[in-house]
This record gives sequence, C-alpha cells and structure tokens, in this order.
Amino acid sequence: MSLDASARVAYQGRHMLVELSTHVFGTEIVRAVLDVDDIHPLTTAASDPSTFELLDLAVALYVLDRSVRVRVGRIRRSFALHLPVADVVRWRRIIPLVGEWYEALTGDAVEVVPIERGAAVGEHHRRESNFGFEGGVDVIGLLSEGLDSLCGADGVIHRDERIALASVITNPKRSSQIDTIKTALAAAHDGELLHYALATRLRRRRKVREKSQRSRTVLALITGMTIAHALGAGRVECYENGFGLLNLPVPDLQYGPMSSQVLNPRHLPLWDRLSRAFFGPTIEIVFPNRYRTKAEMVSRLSEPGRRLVSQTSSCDRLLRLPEGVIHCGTCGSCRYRQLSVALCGASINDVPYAYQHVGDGPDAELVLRYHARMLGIALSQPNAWDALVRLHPEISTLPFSEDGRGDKRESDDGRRNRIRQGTLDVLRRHVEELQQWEAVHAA
Amino acid sequence: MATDRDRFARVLDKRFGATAYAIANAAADAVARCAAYIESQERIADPNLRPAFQDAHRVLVRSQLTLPEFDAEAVRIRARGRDSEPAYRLALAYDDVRNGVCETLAEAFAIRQVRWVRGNIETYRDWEHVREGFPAVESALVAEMTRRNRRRFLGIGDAIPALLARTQADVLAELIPLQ
Repeated sequence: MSLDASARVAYQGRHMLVELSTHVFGTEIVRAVLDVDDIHPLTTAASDPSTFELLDLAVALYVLDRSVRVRVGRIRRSFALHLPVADVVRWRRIIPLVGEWYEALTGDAVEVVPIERGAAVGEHHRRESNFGFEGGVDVIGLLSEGLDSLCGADGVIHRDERIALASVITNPKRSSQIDTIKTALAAAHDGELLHYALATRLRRRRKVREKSQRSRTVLALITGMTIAHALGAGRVECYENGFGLLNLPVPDLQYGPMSSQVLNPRHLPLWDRLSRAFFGPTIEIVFPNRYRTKAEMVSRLSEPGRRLVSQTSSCDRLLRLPEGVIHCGTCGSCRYRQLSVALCGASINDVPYAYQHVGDGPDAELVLRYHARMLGIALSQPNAWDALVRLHPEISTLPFSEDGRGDKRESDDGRRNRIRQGTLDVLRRHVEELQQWEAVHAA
Repeated sequence: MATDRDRFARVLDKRFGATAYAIANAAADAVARCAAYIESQERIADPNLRPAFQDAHRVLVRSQLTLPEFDAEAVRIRARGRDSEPAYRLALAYDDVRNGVCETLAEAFAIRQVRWVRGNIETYRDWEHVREGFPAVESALVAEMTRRNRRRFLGIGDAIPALLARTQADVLAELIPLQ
C-alpha cells in the first residue's frame, strides 16, 4: 500500500510542529505549525503526560487530514505518523486499535510509529500543572457554532448534573460566534455556563487543503474526552441530531468512507475501547439526540434559544464577510436546516441565505429527496430493518452499539431491539418531514 | 467553423454527452451507450478492477463448497473496496451475493452500476430531461451490464461489438436529420 503522506511530530517552545512529507509530485517537506498556547492549560492538567498523548495524536491527524487531498477516484488515504510518546512499549500495544478506530471513522489508514520522547522533541510535556478547577464536573457537553449545538447547550443549564461545555476552535472566526451563543444563553437563563475552548489554529500550513476535514469532529470528541478526564467527568455529550449522526451515504452515489462516519453510534464500542486504552476508566460518548430529527430539536428550544438561531451556522460553504456570515442556502446542510426551521412549528428568525449554487456537483435538495424516497421504500417493507440494512449495509452493526453500557437490567436483545426501533422511527419521521416540506414547496 | 450542431453537441457533452441524448429520445442504442459510459468511467476510476472482480468471483464460487466462520477473504475484498469507487461497488455486490440478494456477482455488480447512474440522473439538475426516459431503459441496462460484466471480467460470452457511431456528431447525424 503506497503512502499518501508521512508526518513527524515535534515540539518547539510553545508550538507543536507537524512536518509533512508527501510524494505526489516529488519530495516535499511542509511544516504545519500549531500554536499550543491554549493546549497547555489542558494538557498540563494531568500529572501523567501520556494522558494527553491522544490529544497530540488527534491534532497531528487533523493536520494530515487538512493538508493531504483525497486523490480523484480514490476513497482512502494512507498516512504514517511518527509521534513522540512517554511509553513506547505501551503504545505498540495500542497501535492496532488506533488504526482500526481511525479507519472505521474516516476511511483513512494511519500507522502510528511511536518514538521515544526526549530532549529533541522539546519542552512541551514538561510543564507543571496550572489547571486549577475545583469541584469537578459530571458531564462535558460539546459546543460548536452549529444549530444542533445551540439546542444542546440550551437544555443543559437547568439540569441537575454539573456540566461544562467544551469547544475546539479550528478557525478563530468561529470563536466569537461560540462566545456570543454561550454568553447570551447564560444571560437569558440567568445561570452560569462553565466553558473551555481549545484553539488548534494552524499557523503555517500547506496551501493544498482537503475540504472534507473528516478529522475535525474526531478532534472535537477527543478534546471533550481529554477535558473530561482532567475534570473527572465520565461522559462527553455530543448534541448532533439523529439523522446527522447516522450520516447515511446516498446509496450507490456515496460509499461509507466518503461520508464522515465519525459520529455514527455504531462506533461507540471502539470509542469505549480507545478511552480505556488511554484514560483507564471509560469516558462514554453519548448522543442525547440520537432519536430526534433536527426539526424536533429546534421545536424544543426555549424562547431565548430561538432568538439565537440566527447566530448559529450550518453551511458547508459558509461565507464569512465583515458584515456577517452568509449561508449558501443550497448545500445539504443548508437545505436540512431550512427544512428543520420551517417545520419546527414556531416562528424563528433564521440566517440569511444567498441561494447560490456553487460548483457542478449534485443538487442537495434533489439528493435529500432521492435519498428519502429510497429510505421510504425500505421502511415500508414488512421487515423494515432488513430492508434498511440491504440499502445501507453500514448500519448492520448499529444495534450492538450500546453493548456493555447502560441499564444492566435491560437484556442484550431488549437493548438491541430498542436501538433498531428507535433508528427506524427517527428515519421514518425524517422521511415524513421531507414529504411535508415538499408539500409546502408545491403549495 | 463550428455549426449549431457542434455547439449543441458541446452542450450535451457536459451532461452525459450522447448517452443522455439517446436516453432522453429513447434511441435504439440508449442501453449500449449507457453501458459503454459506465465501463469507461470505471476504467478511469480503477483500471485494475478485473483482478479484483475475478478474486471476488473465485471466493464466492469456493464459498459455495465451504463457509468459513471468519471470512478473511471477504475482509480482504472489502479492504480492496476502499481503493476506489468501482471497487467499493464491487465489494457491496459481493456482500449482496453472500446475503442472497442476487445469484451471481456479475448481476449484483450490474444492479449497483445501474443504481449509480440512476442516482446521478436523479440528483443533478441539468439531467432533468433524462429522468423521465431512464426507467424505460433501466431493466434492459441491468441485463446488458450483466452480460458485459461476464464478458469483461470473466471472459464468458460473446465479444461486445463496438458502437458504430463513435463521435457525438455521428450520433446527432443519426438522430437529427440535417435540414
């Protein structure tokens, strides 16, 4: 198998360096420099340096993902990554799991080569702890500038558990959006929101940029897990809607690894294994909206939350101008957002849309309809689950996603049936919403 | 100097070329053109699909004799599927045969190939004119692709004759009488 790129991680002062070596047009060495100023308060929280090696790995994978394009007609990229670690022997045991986990999530193959951390890799991991949070928290909720995140954050303030929100900022422009949402929510609910942000800005990067950025979500989840470990929390919550979590590839137009499968619940057992390998106890990733559509989530927003919808963004081709953020209005995310806001049953001031189709790809609205039509045919069969698996073989292992978790009084069969039924129901409601939306359009 | 017909041909070229035109007008060679289009696109995306197909076919034939508990070869076929879109389609077709959805790999692969074309036609705005005509050729196209897959990958059956009209201008000359 030929490598698409290899990379070497090192530390220099307060910067993490990822040196890329690609061989597409000869040999080329590129240095992606990452400012770790914001990582330090987190990473030094743990006295054991190996605690944050997973975060280092995620950042390096993010750099590789951003810098190496998927070749035309190909699905998989292959990476080799030299990573400085505290315990090489321990890492060698974990490497097969890391490879399995990353390939399942993104479709890319990665081979981690652990190297002994020494003076040559810099002082990054030798700082004293300066992370002074007392009391601990129970749950870490992931907060981004998206609409689903707003729905999630809107609901956490009045919960009994101690919750902290965590964000990963890969683009500084997102930071102010997230701050606005967080501050407005806290003020509106007269409560306090504990929030941690981790900036992973690439300071000097390759000009070639892969747009799919499958690893950004991986980085967000691992950031959440690292913060959870530092604060003693046992759960990381991600508030993505049920249809978005599954992110089912359009049958025979897209294939599994071509649509990001990072959040697909069928990978939860892999996440649990990864958590145990790095952190000891399982830090569970939980999807509270797994059986809700986006429209259902928006309909549950509080009044102050509804006023913040226009501050969020969902677009795949977002245009950030000094005057504000413009959504293209024609990509898949914009179409699904429009549908959800239109059908939520409340009057909501949404974001402005340009309604400009960029590129010569398929039309997102037609894709949504075509996919919903195929889903509808499968869901109307007498044995809907089998028909759905025939259409989407990717979800065949979905019912096993919570094995080893949850209420011990529930039998394995009972849990699996509940997952099957919940998935079928949320997909049925998604198809109905699409039909309703079409009817509104036709009228 | 470019004629109107040439300009028309260039516009067609952007949207599936002569194939789209043939489907939209229910031309006699619509199926053959569509099948040739699928094959040409697959050759571009994955020039080495033939050994992969033969490998999957060999595993399927052998598995009719014994069914191992852990199918390491299926794992290998699926791993090969990550190399390109046609290879992924092939891996899915392999699973279809294993799951009893289809009897032969050539047919299962043909169904996936035709669904790929149908998906494209259904989801691109500028292929709207083809959408109505496509269902009429769909089942014939599956049969044709099955025949071609058997010939192309396994060497079974008669050779596929090349299309008589090779250029778009030829196609248009056949379909649009000159004034």
